[in-house]
Amino acid sequence: MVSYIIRRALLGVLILVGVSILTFLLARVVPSNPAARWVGPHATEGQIAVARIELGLDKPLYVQYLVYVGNFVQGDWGLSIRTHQPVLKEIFRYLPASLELIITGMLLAIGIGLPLGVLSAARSGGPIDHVSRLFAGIGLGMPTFWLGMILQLIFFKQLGWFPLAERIDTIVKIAHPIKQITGLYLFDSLITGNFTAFGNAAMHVVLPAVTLAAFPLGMIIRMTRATMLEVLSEDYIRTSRAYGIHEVKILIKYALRNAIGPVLTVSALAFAYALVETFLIESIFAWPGLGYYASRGIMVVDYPVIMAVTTLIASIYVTVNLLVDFSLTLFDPRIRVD
Amino acid sequence: MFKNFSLRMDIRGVIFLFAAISLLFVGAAGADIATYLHSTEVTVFWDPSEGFSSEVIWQSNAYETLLRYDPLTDKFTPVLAESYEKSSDGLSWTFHLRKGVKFHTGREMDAEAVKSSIDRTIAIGKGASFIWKPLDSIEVVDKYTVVFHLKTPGTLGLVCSSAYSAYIFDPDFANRDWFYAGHECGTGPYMLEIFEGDTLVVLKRFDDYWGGWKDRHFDKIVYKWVPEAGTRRLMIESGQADFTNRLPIETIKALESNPNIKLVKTPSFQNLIALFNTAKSEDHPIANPLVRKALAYAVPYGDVVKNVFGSYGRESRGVVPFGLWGYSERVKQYTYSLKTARTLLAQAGYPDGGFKLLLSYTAGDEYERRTAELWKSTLANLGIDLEVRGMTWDGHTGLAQAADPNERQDIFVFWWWPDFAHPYSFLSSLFETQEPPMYNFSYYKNPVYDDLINTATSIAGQDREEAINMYAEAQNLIMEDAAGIAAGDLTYVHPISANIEGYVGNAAYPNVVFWYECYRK
Repeated sequence: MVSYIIRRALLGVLILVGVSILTFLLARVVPSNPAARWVGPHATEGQIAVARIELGLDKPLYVQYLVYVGNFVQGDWGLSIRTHQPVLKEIFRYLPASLELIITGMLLAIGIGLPLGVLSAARSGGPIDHVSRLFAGIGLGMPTFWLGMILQLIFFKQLGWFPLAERIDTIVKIAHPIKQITGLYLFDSLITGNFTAFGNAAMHVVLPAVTLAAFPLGMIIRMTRATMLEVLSEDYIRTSRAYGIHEVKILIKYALRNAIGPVLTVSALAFAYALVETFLIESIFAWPGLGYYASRGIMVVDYPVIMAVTTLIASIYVTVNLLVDFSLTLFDPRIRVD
Repeated sequence: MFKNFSLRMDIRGVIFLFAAISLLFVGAAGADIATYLHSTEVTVFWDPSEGFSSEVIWQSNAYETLLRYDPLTDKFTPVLAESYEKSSDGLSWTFHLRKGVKFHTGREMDAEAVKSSIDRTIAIGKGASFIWKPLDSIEVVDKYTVVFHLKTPGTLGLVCSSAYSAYIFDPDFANRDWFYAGHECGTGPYMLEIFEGDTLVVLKRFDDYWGGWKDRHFDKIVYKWVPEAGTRRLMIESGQADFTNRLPIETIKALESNPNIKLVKTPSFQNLIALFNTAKSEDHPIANPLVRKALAYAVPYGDVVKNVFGSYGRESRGVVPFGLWGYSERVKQYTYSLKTARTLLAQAGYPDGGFKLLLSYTAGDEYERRTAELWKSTLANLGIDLEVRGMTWDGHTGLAQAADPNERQDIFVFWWWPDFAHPYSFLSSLFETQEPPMYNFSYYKNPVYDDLINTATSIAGQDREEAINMYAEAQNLIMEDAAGIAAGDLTYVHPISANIEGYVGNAAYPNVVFWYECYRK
């Protein structure tokens, strides 16, 4: 088991090194002039020449890469070409926004998807099943960017129930500043008793979170339903029923527990995938998260930002995959790892 | 029991509760806040010595310059300098500083601070610091008097009032890391209160502002980066914002009939430039000046202004935009005439066209793309196949700077605007000999031209009329050699809440609102 973990972890590191080399090359191969952007529009030739030296762009590409990696592991992720700020500091500023959105979205997806999937399987062929399958189909089939805009049109423009974009109204932020603890507005405002900010932030998170939840929701409904149906047809369930055990107990304790493995895997992967999906959602809802930050960087080939975000997301992906594999062995001892 | 199990969530109830709570508290805030939505980053450069980008929209309310320039009257308003006089040879300018001006840090603004600020900006050498080129040294005479000694009689008033690289700040705090951690130390009416990366800046009143405060000024100013034009439009229509910029022309047209929004038009110093590659080898059609002239005659100038600019603009004359001193009626201007173009092509040996040209522009810029497409269709009538290629800015300039001139584009289309209110920016950056080319993507090389614009610039501080004549003569050389044209001068259109008074657009400070002068009715 230990050797398996070490082997997988090393493989993960190897993947990350590969990702970083590839990203570095890609970001540098596309035509771009970081030095010119660093100084600003209408910069003179002399100013750009100075900037090239300042940014180390005068060195050979492999030296630049090694310097970059050397600094990276020491926590110096470079300066953004676009904003002139340390990339690591900026990531710490944008990541909590993304996490808040993703966590809310995933809670929604699991909180709705799991019961619906269970009900759907328990009443297979019935009206609930049809409705939940329709739900799943819609969630999986609708493009995120489209869904987001449709929700904005309906719930902001037509009904006026929810705000259009952003994490919080600026006016609320000015009048009721949120004390920074974790950077998650909902959490920070709640534990500091700042209920105005909490209410406002909660209103803001609804539309983007629903948009984000749609896809994982569909996956979770389908996966739960499928695995539950399989488990429910097992002999031991029939035996339990014959013993007269309460249906709810059978569903939750005996069936769901055995069906949860694949659902967990799907949820975890959906979580990692959501990090990428937020790129679109954050743009639509002007949500100042990692995706927003990264897409601004990509537009101007801000290579330190592209490198950092890609490596970060790749690490999360790799880690989540590892954790899923390990946790499955804990849930289900039948899975052998050696 | 199971049958009764249902997931009942009264979503509307929850929503109502949240909405009620937030409204209750927001209503109590009460301060008069103006909100500015910006299409790009709110801050790119925090250090006032480096500034060269959109941060000017808020920094010009937090920092001040010695003078402010009004291009409409061609006059200076005193800001930190109460008055100034220049010596008869135009080589020394004496500024008498306003007394009792405080920096946001508490220190008093004095001659020493003026000297240190400008010396620092020049030493760092970033932003538009090159505008100080004529400056030799700054002499502190006494606490409130400072003398600028020049090498050549330049237009120092324009330099001192520049939107970039001319701010006066507290030198005791001037430290790059301190600025980039989100600080400022200016003298302006508003000071930085809150910021969030490059997406948000909130300014509040600076109580000790030298101009004093009356009731009707705004308490706070919010600057927000909202990239989506559609979102900006919705926000200004719904009254969530007071001011924005760079809306697509279709959106502007749609706002024209909205009674809650005023459209403020400001003739800008920005024009749409097309540079013809003059450096290709003999066998390329574009190397022939007759062909380039034909191309210039084939631009449907009227249609560009009417249909691409949505009539928010005017036809150019030469390359110096209308409204900027240096613009002259003496400059020859091409007009749309396919007949003349055809004659010129025949003279050049291409009576039926029969060649291909590459036009490059910055992808995403609808003005550039539509102008290029119009031009493509008129050129098709002449048998010329124009390839219109949208590229990223870096790709675009990368192609234009390719080592072999034959590999470069034939026509380079982009916007130009001056770094400060001076025609030299157009004439030098776009057409003066440059090796390697920086922005002169016409690759024009003409010693007579170079000499004309540089002589004119060195005398402009003393004899502006003569300088304008020389600039006109230089522009006529460009027109004669058909090195490039301006397709139209842009008028800025800024939607602003109809209840805000006091906003006057100023082409020397593009997109800047001096909020101290504005109030809500």
